[in-house]
Amino acid sequence: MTRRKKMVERVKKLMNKPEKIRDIGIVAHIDHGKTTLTDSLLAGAGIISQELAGTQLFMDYYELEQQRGITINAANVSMVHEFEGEEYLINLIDTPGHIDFGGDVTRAMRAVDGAIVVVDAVEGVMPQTETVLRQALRENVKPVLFINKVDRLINELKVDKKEMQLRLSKIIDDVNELIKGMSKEKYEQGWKVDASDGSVAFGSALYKWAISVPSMKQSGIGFNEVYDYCQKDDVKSLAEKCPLHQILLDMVIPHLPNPLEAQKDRISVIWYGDRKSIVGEAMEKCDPNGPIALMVTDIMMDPHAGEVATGRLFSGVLRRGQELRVSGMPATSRVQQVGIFIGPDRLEVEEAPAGNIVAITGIKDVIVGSTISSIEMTPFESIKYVSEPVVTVAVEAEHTKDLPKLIEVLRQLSKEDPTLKVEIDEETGEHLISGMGELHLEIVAYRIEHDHKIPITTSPPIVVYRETVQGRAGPVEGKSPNRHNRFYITVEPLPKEVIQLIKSGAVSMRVKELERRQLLMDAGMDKEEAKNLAGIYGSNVLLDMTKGIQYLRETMELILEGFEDVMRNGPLAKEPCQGIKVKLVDVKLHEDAVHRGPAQVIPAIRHAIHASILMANPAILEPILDVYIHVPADQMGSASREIQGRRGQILDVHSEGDLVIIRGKAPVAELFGFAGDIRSATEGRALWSTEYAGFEVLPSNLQVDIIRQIRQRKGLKLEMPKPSDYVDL
Amino acid sequence: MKLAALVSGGKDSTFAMYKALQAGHEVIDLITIKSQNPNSYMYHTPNIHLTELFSKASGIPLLVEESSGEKERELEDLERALHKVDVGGVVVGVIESEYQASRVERICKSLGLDVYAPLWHQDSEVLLREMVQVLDIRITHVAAFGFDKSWLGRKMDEKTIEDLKTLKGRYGIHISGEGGEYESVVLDAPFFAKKIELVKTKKIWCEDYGTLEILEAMLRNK
Repeated sequence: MTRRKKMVERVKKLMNKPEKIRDIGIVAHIDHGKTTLTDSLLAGAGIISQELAGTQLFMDYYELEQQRGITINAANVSMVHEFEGEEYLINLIDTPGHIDFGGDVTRAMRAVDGAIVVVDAVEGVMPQTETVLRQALRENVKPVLFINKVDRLINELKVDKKEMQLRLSKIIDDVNELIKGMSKEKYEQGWKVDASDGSVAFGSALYKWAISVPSMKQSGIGFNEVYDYCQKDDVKSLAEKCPLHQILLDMVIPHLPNPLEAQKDRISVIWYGDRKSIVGEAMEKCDPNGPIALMVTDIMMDPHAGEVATGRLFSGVLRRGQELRVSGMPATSRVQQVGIFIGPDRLEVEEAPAGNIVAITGIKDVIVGSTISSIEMTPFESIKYVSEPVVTVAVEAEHTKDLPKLIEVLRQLSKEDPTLKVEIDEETGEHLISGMGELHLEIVAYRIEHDHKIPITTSPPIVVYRETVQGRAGPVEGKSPNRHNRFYITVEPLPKEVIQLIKSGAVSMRVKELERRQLLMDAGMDKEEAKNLAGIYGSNVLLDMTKGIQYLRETMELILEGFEDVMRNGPLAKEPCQGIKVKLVDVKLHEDAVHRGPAQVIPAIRHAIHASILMANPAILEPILDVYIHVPADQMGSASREIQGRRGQILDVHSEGDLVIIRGKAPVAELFGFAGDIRSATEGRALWSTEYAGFEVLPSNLQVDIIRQIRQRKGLKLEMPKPSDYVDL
Repeated sequence: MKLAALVSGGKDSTFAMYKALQAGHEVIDLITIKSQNPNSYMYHTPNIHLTELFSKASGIPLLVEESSGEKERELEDLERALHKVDVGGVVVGVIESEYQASRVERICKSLGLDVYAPLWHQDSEVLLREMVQVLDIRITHVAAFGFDKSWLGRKMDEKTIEDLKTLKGRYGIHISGEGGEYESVVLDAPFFAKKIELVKTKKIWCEDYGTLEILEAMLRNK
């Protein structure tokens, strides 16, 4: 305990010296050993005992995380490291690797300046390695590489010394290939990872040893020695001679930027405000004397302190009692506590200056992605999530008396986890929660029952579908119920390039008009259309192609409302629409405002778009996952059958030593229960992971059945909807 | 003053006429414009044939003018009708529609007639509450998001007003139906000697609008 206290004092001292701070994250493909690495780092820093590290899974402090051996929430910790005679403060965020929790990774990347990318020496670069690396680069977060489980090469694959070196350099090349592909500019600016300059380390997180080129020079332990120690199974001496935390943090300090350097470069990527403004300049300088500017990356409920918002402080000094505002909210609220993290414990501090990862309580109406500031400022660009929710379950309180509490808990959970979507089905009154996968929702259900003590029943998981058009239709006339207003609509598929621009967030209504127009034109959109963009919803657009229509401006808001409503609930089965270009080509409005209120305009627009979609060869899209299976060669057949039997496709098979790596894809709908089935099919010897691969058109022979199924579930008429249900033809 | 009342048989024109009578005016003619266009901006069209019973019930003669229903030409039809009556002014039930008010006013002005519009810019909710006290009003047509078939034929009372207010809050309708959200027919008024009874009706419902078609109606002693 005293050792711990001392540590706290050192942390507090270093918090005020930004040049001595490194805000970093650890990212990896699932099971490549992130959390084990974090534990070993903490053990090295004296926060948990050396013996427990590796098995304690300290960062997985959520009980369920430890049970399942996976990390669900990004957790935070601060520690002190000595490098070349100077003390440094490392603020570390651990991130989950399972695809179901992708949102947490993206959020954590916003708060850090550098990342340790962990790659398993045997498996090599995996799909999620690519995903997390992409997330890091997009947020301007600099990577260093740690190749983990090197001992497995020696002891399990029994490669010789030469082969080991070859394999390791291949991994380095693969990672560099990815970095180069994602950002050639940064690659050339020195973001390339290089064993010779010390930005790559090799080792074993579990056995707590590591080496790097600089460490070899100091300790005299190189690959030859490592090979011998491993063969002798004497990893203990190895860990004593080249302790993991020492080598890794020695890599982090010179190769990853401190907040002063990082913020100069990163602010322009993560913030779109005026960089010459007071807050803009303060953030670029990481100025403690500037106004408060905090980006919230995580919200947690503390039973005592209430909502705890964690985030990166880019400027100013946080103190208790400050009056701060939350972007988009009218009122200010008062900071009750300021804290930092030591593992699962939040430690209250008097003040926390710019450059740190901090926790505060007392701020009302804050959500993940909020900007908290002391003066009015442009909010940080909202955090972009890479994947979309693909699975839904209906939750019901077992006892009706718990219903109000359940509603409150669901609201809270969706605030803590923005990748979780909570909706109420207005017709059935059911609460629907949508998430990134079966596992994600299982965890949510577990939290409701276990943490919040509300017994619930959940429906079997339901796939989230999308609706789209494959052809064009229109102009279709939509009349208002009072017949006094008419809207003429055409629809057609939105080109893939444009959908990509919208999904990536490059084009949104918040982007300046000229810039947006140029981007759309570069993606192949007609100039006239790019100029007339009136609204974006999901990955659908509304274009106003009319000219000089009186009263249209004041009616536009209602038109957009109608458009958004259809994009949320398509005509086939009330599933969200995707990739539809809706054009308003003509409008006739009643000249009296009282005749063109919302109850007239919204239904007219809705009917016209509904009917146009139904006439434009509509289709249901289903979510697809890429599936990667590592399996011993003799089990390959059973493993591939598990994919093929699920309307899946095998895309690639190659062998790696005695392992076969199968790459395939399959629809989410068919993957329910995959975990259990593949385990029994391969006698538990398959390692597998999945990756979100977007939506694809459902095979045409299944379209009608699925539409009917969804309609039945939602209590809609079973007949297939027809255009004439909506408009006079 | 001697007035002609522009009536459709609905609540607003009937209530305006009632207000005129209460104020001591004499209503000597009823004028109805029968439009060919079911979607006319100017005139109320569902069940316009009921104005004949309205005339008999109130004992005031009715002048029916046929109209093509073409936009703007419709006004000439009104002008023609007003030429046929000998009055000092016209009573109308307009509440908020600038479109209707400004056009009626223009024609009357050119003919040297006063326009008597007792409901003009009055609070809709107050008006409705007054109306349901003295008139037997039935809803015959609805045309706005939020209404359904159950509204057709419904008698207007305090509960109806509350329901309309809910729809106003939810979908932004005008509670008096000034935006064409609903139309009504009056079956009884204080100045009726007999009341109207609906004998046979039929509900017609399309996606988001519908009409109560009155196939047969008759007068009955009060």
